[in-house]
Amino acid sequence: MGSHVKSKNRSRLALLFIAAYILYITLPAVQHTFLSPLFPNLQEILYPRASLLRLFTEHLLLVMLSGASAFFTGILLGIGVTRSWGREFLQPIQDLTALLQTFPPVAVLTLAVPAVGFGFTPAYLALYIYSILPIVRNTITGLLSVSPTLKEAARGMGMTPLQVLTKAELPQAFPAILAGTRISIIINIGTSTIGGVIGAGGLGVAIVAGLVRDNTAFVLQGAIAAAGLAFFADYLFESLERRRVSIGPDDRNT
Amino acid sequence: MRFKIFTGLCAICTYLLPIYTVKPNRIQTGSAIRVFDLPPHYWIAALLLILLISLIVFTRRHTDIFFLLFSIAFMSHLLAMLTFLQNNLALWEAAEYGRISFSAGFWVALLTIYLLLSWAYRNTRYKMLPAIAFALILSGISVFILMGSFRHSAILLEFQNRSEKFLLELLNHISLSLSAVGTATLIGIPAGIWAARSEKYRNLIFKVVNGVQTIPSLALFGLMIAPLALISQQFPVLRRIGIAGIGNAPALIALTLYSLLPIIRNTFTGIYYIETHIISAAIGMGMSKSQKFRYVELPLATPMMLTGIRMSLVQTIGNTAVAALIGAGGLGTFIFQGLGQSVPDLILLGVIPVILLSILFDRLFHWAEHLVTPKGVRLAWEVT
Repeated sequence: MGSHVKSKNRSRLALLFIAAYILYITLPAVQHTFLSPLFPNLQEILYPRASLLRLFTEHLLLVMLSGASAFFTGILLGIGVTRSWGREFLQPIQDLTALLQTFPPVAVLTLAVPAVGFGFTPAYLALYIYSILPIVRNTITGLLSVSPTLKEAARGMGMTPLQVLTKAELPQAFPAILAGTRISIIINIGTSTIGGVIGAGGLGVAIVAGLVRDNTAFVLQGAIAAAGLAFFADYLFESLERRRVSIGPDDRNT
Repeated sequence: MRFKIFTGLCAICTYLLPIYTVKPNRIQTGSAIRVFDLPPHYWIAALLLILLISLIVFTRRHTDIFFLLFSIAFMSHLLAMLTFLQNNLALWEAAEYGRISFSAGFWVALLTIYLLLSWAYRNTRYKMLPAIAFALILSGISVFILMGSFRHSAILLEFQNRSEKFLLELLNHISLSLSAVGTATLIGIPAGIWAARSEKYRNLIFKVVNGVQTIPSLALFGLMIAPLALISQQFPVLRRIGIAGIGNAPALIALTLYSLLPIIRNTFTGIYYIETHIISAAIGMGMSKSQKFRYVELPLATPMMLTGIRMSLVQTIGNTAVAALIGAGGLGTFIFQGLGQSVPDLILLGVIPVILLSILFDRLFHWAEHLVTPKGVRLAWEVT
């Protein structure tokens, strides 16, 4: 009972923070009243070239597009290498993704410039490729950990291979896939902040402009928005994961 | 079989894509060079190599050795093409200030060689062979560099223009990363042990470090600037010893905060999840609390702790590159200069060493983890 009340209070608190964050993002007046007491000596408090809302939208678009395409590619790739016809690629893909994950995300992002040029496309491509890695790895781990007995039982019930995959294997692997997606999206939000430097827009634009012009207010204006976005994305995934656990297929504990 | 066909296709792709770009000078875009733009014997050699790889793919025996030999031939062909371009820059109206950059085909070629060597490594009986091939390729490249075959390659030119600064920033990068991770280790290991011991503070510790890890690195650097600038304004003493809003101090603090999570989490996991019967045995042998910690818990948790330090070091090497934006120096300086001046090769001069550093430290720590794993644990793994 007590924990129930606690979690209800928790989600109320989260809602309050989200509402405050939305107000902060959408209304320049809120940003101004929040930041101006901190910087009494500065003439300009808010980044003048674009509204925070616009930068936020660009940022979110970049993260969502690259994350969504990586989600589908990653799962398909993970399914492919765990089928009998793709087993040959399992070890190479695991080795290659392990190697690529050693690459810093910044390196992948800035490598896209010599390869593709400046703008939205190289940032999208770099984030897409980098986001695939945790999703593929977790999909593979999830699918490989499904017990052979379960698959056997599914086959014994007369399921086709596709049904075994969609009704037995994927639901079992889903928590792992979700965890991989969470890692991807959080890294993605962080890395696309640097996308401002390669001309992809986003909240990094305000931060970098502030650093270049020695205006800490711009930096803070963008940094708060970026940190908030990452926090809420993380919170969203956390609550998704919690829901999955309670209604998921794994009810052996109850 | 499918994997070998895929590798062969990658080799073919190399020759379909532009391999190098010849630029008349630093700023102009230049022209893409495919193998077909070179004299006939270069593309005849390419055709022969493609024929060879197809033959290797479809033979059944001893593919490992053929793969190694092929990757050496493949690399030599790429280098020969580069040498030809250097000596005949005039053909592309780029004689004196001409520079050669790597293009898509070259990167695909590197991927191909990686695939060939890793396949050979997994399938060969002679475990030293791939290492020998790798050493041969590496020494081949060094010989080519010494002979001056790379004198027009753009990365090398960017390097020569700032060789002293490069070494300085490289050392700066390494020392900044290592001191951040070192500080984080000193804080993180006690914090991890504390988290394993005290149920009360465990949640709080993980909430805080998880939260820090979620904040984008650039935003965290930004958030560090304001309070530090304020403090150093209040206390001029601090400014004199170098603590200010911009530069090393905020970078070091932010990087340290960032490195904490993997170290704390792994220390906690290493200590907390030691099987209870091992602890019972230690207590039953009459060990005191500190003996139990020193002789049982710590040795068993050390590999896990090292894994945490490795993860945070690899991550920090990347984040240190971002720290260049707040004036902390390091290899990121070249990356962001290159981005600012739109010189792709200067970006590469920063990015490639950052990647190599990450891989180097990753390997080094893997090796160290193997060394510190207690013999009994290693044997137990081999049994299972």
